[in-house]
Amino acid sequence: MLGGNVRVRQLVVLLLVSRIFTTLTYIPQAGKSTSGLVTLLVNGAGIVAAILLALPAFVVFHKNKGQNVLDLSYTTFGRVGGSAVAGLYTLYFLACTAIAAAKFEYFVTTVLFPQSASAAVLFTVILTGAVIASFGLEGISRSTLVVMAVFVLSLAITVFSVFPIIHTYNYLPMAMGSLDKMVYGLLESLSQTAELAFFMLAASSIKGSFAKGYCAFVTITFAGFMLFYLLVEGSMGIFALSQPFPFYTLASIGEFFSFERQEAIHVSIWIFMGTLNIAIYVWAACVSASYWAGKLKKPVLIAAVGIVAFGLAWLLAGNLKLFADVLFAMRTLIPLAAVVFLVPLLLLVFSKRRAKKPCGK
Amino acid sequence: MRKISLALVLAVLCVSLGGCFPVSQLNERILIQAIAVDYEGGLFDVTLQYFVAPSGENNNTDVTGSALISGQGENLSEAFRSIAVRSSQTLFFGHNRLLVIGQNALDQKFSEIIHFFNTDHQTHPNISILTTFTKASDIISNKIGQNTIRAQEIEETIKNVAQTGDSFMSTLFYVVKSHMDPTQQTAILKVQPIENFDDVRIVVDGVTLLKDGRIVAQGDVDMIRGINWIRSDIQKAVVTVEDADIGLISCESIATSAKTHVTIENGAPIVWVDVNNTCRVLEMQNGDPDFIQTKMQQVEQEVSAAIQAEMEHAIDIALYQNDCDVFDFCNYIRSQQTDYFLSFEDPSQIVPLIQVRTSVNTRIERVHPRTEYR
Repeated sequence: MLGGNVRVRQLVVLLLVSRIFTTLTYIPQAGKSTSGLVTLLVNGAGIVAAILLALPAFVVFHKNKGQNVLDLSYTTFGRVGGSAVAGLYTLYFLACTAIAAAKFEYFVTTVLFPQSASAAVLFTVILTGAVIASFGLEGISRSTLVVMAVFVLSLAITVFSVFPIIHTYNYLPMAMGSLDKMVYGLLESLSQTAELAFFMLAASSIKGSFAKGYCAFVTITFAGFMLFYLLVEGSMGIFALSQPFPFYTLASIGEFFSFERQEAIHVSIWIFMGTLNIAIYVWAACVSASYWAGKLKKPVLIAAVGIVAFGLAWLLAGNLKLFADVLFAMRTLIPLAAVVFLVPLLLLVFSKRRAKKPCGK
Repeated sequence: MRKISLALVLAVLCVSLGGCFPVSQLNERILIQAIAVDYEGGLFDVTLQYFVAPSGENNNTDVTGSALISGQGENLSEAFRSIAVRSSQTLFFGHNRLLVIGQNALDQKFSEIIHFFNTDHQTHPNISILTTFTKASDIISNKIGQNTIRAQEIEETIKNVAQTGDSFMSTLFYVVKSHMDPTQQTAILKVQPIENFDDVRIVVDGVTLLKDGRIVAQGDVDMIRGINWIRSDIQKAVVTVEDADIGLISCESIATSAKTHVTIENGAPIVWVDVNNTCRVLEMQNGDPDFIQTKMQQVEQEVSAAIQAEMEHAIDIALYQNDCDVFDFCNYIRSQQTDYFLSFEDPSQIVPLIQVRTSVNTRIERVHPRTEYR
């Protein structure tokens, strides 16, 4: 259900579109992450850390092509263990859906339509995401190619617009970075990249090498962060810290010939990307849930996931302190490490133990 | 079944489009074009210039489609609220192009004012910020003939003059950035209205320097050019010098660039500002057929000296007399001499130590043949 096969590069593009939206709506005041040229180091370390996290998964999926982490969990841990793992992934992706929807609502009601009803925004975006998710992975990934092309064009215009106001003295030197902020920044970057966990579920749908696709995604993503950082801090400097959404402000201050205030055009593309961001999390939550609630029909399952996600997102959107606490919990990297590293590692260990048992015992 | 589901979903989506609720119609909004903020007797006095479709019946509008409305309050939010209540309309800041702040408001409430507009999601970071010795409301309420000066005309006046280096765009973006940076101080363009019979024009009157949110000095018009040379913000400045043989000679800059590098000598930062100026000769009082061979180099040196004098004048007033770094020198020090910068617990202590060495290299690229009557 909700399947379909995708080529590796289609999947990479899909997940890039999803992750870019999270970056575009990054709120500096929400964390204490690093700024300055040391951010380049942090992003470089992010590539290495993300690859290290997935090492057990590389081995597991290399040995078991055509299966995803949940298929293998049922095979390795049995029905109960497999359902527990499926439940874990369901919870994780439900949380990601709720967080993504709440962030989307925060963005829309802060800079676009402050008077909009929070529930109306959440309902619209989750409903749209659920409908998109119902088309399956193949359908979603085909549509993102167009979105990506348009986004790259809009990014090129933004770069061209702000290039004249970039000054190298705006970059805080490396020596001004501190180790704790670097670590915090690394944790924050990684924890917000739930797409790494998405790979675990999509492994059975990939036509091509899982490891190559994962590494390509990680490399392009963190390289993209470096580009965004260079643009934002180079042009705005310390002013960026006063903005709730620095990249949105960047799009508004740049001038492309006589065109000013381009953010209205860029935002329309971002909203599309934000909806895809939520759609893939809904898809992942539905796929995970289908393993332990397989008796439910597909529309019912999608509706159930949508309703639960809506409820969670509404809770988060209405309570800033709870939202901050949840983001902090995610930032500890424990949830991501559990689904990307720990489960594949357990699969690797227990599958080896099973292989070692002599016949008949 | 699938088509029915899709149709239902689309119908629900159309109805639930969150962005449309609530919405104000165009005639229910005040489309603000300029804002003037004064502060007297503990109250903010805010005047708005807003767009109104020209109508012969409305006595408060003129043929340019601008009208004025004022309100007062203990803070800006209350002042704007009083205007909204009086007019029974929603204020829309998205089209605002200009913010004029009276000197009293600038001195006492600068941080509050800047914070208010910086956090407003409709206000564009590129709006121009000006100050004036007269009431701020006088700037946006002055009339040319029967018409109120529109914000767009004020902004274009500033922009056009900026090309010659005689003004600069002190935008909200620049002002907030310099205010947030502990090593930077803020320079805001000062204007005043000039009356000439029925005609009133806004002219650039100088620059106001702020430090830690308070006014510390006023700079004259000549200082503006110096700031612009150092910031490399000049597109086509005219520099006029007097030569003993040629008389007055005016050169117009074609391309200008300023390079800044920093060295440390005897524990003090030395900022080297090297300006390269390519220009063309506009006018010579007494033409010389052998100008290129005999006089050009001397004129280049004289032009360089004039530019250097303007730069030194700006540095003297801002940096040496008032410890105001409005030239981003501290940013260059932080970037190029990081260890030295980090050796100070409070980086603002670096500003009084800065010494500046300027040099200008002028190259005349075009000299037009002189037109003579035979």
